[in-house]
Amino acid sequence: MGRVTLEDVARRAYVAKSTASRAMRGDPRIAARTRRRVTEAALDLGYDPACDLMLSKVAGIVSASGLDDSFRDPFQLQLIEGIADGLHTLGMAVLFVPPFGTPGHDQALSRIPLDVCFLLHGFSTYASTRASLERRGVPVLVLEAEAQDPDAAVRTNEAHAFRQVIASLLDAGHTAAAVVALPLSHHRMHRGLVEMPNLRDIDVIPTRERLEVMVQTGLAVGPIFEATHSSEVDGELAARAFLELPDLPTAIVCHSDVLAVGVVTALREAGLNVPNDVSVTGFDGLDFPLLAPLVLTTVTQDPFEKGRLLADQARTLLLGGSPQPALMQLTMRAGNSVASPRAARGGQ
Amino acid sequence: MTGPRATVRAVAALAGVAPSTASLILRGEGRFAVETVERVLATAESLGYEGPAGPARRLAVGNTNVAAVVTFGSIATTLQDAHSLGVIRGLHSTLAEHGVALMLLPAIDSPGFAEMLATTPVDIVFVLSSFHDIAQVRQITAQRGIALAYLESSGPEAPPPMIHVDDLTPMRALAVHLKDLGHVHVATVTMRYSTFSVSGLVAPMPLNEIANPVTRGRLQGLHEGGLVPTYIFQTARAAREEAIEAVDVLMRMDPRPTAIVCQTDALAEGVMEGLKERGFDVPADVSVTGYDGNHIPSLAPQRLTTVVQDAVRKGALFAHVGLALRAGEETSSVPFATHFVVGTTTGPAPRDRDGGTRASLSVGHP
Repeated sequence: MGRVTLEDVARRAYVAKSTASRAMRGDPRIAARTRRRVTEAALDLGYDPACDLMLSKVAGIVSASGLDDSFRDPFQLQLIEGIADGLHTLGMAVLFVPPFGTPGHDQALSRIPLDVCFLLHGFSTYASTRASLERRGVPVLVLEAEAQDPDAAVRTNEAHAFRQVIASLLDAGHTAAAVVALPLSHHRMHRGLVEMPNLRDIDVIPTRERLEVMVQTGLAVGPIFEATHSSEVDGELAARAFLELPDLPTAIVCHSDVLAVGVVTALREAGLNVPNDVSVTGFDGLDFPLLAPLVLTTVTQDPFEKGRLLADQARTLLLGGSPQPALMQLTMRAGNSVASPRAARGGQ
Repeated sequence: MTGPRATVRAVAALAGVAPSTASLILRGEGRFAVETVERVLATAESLGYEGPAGPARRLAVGNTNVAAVVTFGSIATTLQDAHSLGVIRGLHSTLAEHGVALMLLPAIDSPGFAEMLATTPVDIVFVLSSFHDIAQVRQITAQRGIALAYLESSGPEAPPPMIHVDDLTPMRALAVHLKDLGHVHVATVTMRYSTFSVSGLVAPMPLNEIANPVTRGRLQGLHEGGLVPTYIFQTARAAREEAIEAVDVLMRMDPRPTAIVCQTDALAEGVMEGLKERGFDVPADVSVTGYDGNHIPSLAPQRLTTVVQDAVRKGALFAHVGLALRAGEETSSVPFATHFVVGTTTGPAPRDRDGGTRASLSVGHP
């Protein structure tokens, strides 16, 4: 069979080619019902919009905190790889939109032809970026979205899986845990110990959700160290800050595996054993073979696969359809980085 | 300069097509029969047509402020490679400061690549990695009159690298460091070494016969520092998995190497993982070195003894080369320094009697 053309799609949907073309581009003059029929026909036939010359065949990726942060975080890097891999399979190029505050940012968002744009982080707060894309009619897929966001690209059971991690600490007899948190705000950079914030004031969605889980599950939130990035250095600094406190926490909940690795490294340097002296948990499910025999108790997800799913959604969007948010199943991985607190064992 | 500059009109007349047709084809636009396109391109080449001149060139090129990155292999492979990732990061950040966005095209060997490169609105093309055939990229960028920047190049008439990396100085320092620690029998795990693309031990050959100039340069540095590797393990793809296999082979050799010099950090990562699995302690049983110095989280808590080439800075330099080319400036090879850095993965060579006895038993030394 040859390549599926727009004409095939039009014939199948019983509309003129021009109507099919307009429907694909989301022209408001086309009735919603017609548009849906065209989309379904295109999906049925496996029509590849990227082959169609009316598209620029370019998808944008933009992050509020700048893509460079994402490139340095192994988890987000794999996510970007998944998106790019999926887009390349569709014959599309990937445009890394320059970060906020650089001359390239506005120019990319206002002038470069984009078929679709992935918004990775912080777009609950950076409404202007989103607005300028929407003004141009560039559809967006939002990764870290508020629950009610219609453009949310992913729904996860993250809270459920993370609750199990917290439950494993409670089960082991911990009543409180220190937290190495991802940033609390997109609007300022801060690294160091912070007071427990009002959850509603946290505009970085994963940070808020992960703290929320602790509060709901009943594990008291001890000292909080706010990281600037998901990096080992941040994890090491956090552990050193905790070591200087009058009471060393019995458990440290880290918002990412990379942070947890930094924490483990600093604790080991201080002559402490994980989990016998301090329990440590992570998030993301990355592998750190050299930490062996220590395996982090964490939440695992497949960022590459997540990225591929997002690229599929872009395809549906380009066909004029409205993609359903991808459902990502996250699971808890029980490692051996959680043990009962030393005091509890001593009392036995 | 010889003779007058060839014009689109001259190309069109000789190829027997309308000037508008020639113009579209030379810009890589429009759709024409393959024979027509080939005839026009061949004619343009024979006349030495170099693209539109002066104001016309600026008009044709415009300033889309988009730069394309051309990679070899899948995007996942490229971004998982710490060096390529660093270069991309440097390009992205530096170009952004100059108002230019970076675009990742599908890999050079994927079906739609040429069409995409010929039609996507870009000003500068950056070729990542090196030593692949980029004749097609050269042809398309020349036709479109857009800047082409590459790190190194290969082939018999290859132009000099646009960024010249000094491998000799740091590799000499690395050799001296290992010699000072008492290492004599040293193995090296290399990228392509022989002309055959197979993974495994290879017989040493004269430096000037080594196919890959990067491999050659790094080995030459070792030799100059007074360390000639006893064993050479070549990898076909410089992949971590191949390095894990290398451990099995190398640690069974007699005499057993006391240090493994890896030509990339990724290879060192695989070697470290293989050694850990086999129960060898680094550096008590065997020392390991890398090359690249890009931070590898999975190696924590160890820090690799390695040669740091700040790939992000290299990417930034690369960006400036591309921007200069776009502005029509002449560029010469930009020197780029690298540094030898001692981490936690090198130590004194174990003595024959007490070195790694536990580990050698677990491997089942014959």
